[in-house]
Amino acid sequence: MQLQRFEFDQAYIDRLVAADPETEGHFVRYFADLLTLKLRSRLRSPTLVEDARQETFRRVLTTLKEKGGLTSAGSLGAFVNSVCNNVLFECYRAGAKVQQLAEDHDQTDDRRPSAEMGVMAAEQRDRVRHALAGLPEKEQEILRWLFFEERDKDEICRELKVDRNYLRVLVHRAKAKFRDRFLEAEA
Amino acid sequence: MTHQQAVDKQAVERYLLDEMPEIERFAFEEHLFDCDICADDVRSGALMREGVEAGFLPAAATTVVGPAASGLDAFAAKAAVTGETSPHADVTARAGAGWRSALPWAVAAALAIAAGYQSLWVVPELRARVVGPSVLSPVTLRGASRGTEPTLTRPTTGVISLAVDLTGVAAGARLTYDLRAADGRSVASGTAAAPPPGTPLLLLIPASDLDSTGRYVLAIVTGDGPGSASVDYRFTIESEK
Repeated sequence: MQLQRFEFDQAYIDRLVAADPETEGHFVRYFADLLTLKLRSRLRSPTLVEDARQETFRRVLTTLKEKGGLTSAGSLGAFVNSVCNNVLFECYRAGAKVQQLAEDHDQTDDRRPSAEMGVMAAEQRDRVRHALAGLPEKEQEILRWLFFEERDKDEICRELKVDRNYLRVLVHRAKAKFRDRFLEAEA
Repeated sequence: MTHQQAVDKQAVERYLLDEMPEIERFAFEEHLFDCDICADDVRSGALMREGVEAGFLPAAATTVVGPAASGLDAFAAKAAVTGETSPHADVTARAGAGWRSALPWAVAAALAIAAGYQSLWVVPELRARVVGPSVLSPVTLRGASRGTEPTLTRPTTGVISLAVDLTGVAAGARLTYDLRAADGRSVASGTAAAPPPGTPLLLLIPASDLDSTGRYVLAIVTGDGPGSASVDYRFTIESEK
């Protein structure tokens, strides 16, 4: 997962149109996580999420090459989002139709990440562990309640004697510290 | 949505905490894909959340007392075999911390039948303890009024797994479970969220905690207050021959 901020400019779009592999790689890395987060909350299976994500990338890159770019480089993100929305709505429509299930419909998705991605994931896991371990104990506890034990948020608020807004503030602080420590580990 | 509006509305945190209505979610995403600051913020928050969900936090500041220790022994032994560190390795060193001290030996989970994300619906307590692949052969429990009472053989070690049929309970509904022996003694209790429809709730109980043979009743209460409903699930434990 990429945690570096990035602003798109015309040169970047030109490189995408020219199918520069490095730029295409960056483009995919930059938007992959955002697309996954967006799709995961709306599609029921990882396979559908992955298919919709790939289709979004395919359509964006194809359109950029066909049109020779975008009128404004800064609108690249909005363009990716709107293409993803279209893909998503097509998925909804396709899902709404009655379809005969294939014989292997309940088989697990056997696509696996490459060995390189596996190693990267392992490195990232260590950094995530390190960053989480460095959080103050109280923040660890709040995160555990929220995301691991999935406790009711109102119940957590009652226990902490805070309101929902302040609970979000606490999450915001924990997130900021986590990010700093994660990037420290990278350095 | 502008960046200032996103900040004012705590949009990143609400997005990560799944607190946004769908329309607002789309509106925020329009901004998110355009704003490198919010994108960075959401990415780091999502990474943090996924790390916590995966059990990467250090062990909780809890104490395991009484039957809990024996219940965890099986998992600790497995961790030794697999070479993984038990998430509760240091629990005894952190005594007296918090209300959760006597809680987490009863493990609840639901095995999902549906594909995709629902392929394994795990009640959170389970994540901390399952340290490697395990095969379970649960006994299905149905409401007391539906059919015969199953009989389970108590193994000398390990866990007993019960798959509780929760027909008619909405996904995510709050459940309170209480397992009691024939003499009224509470063996396990806790709360969990109901699994998706068609999916049983899986309850794992250390065999050492079911120390007597005989009849047991698992009461599951759905919801709180006047609208709550309780269903009893009965079964009998017999000794291993």
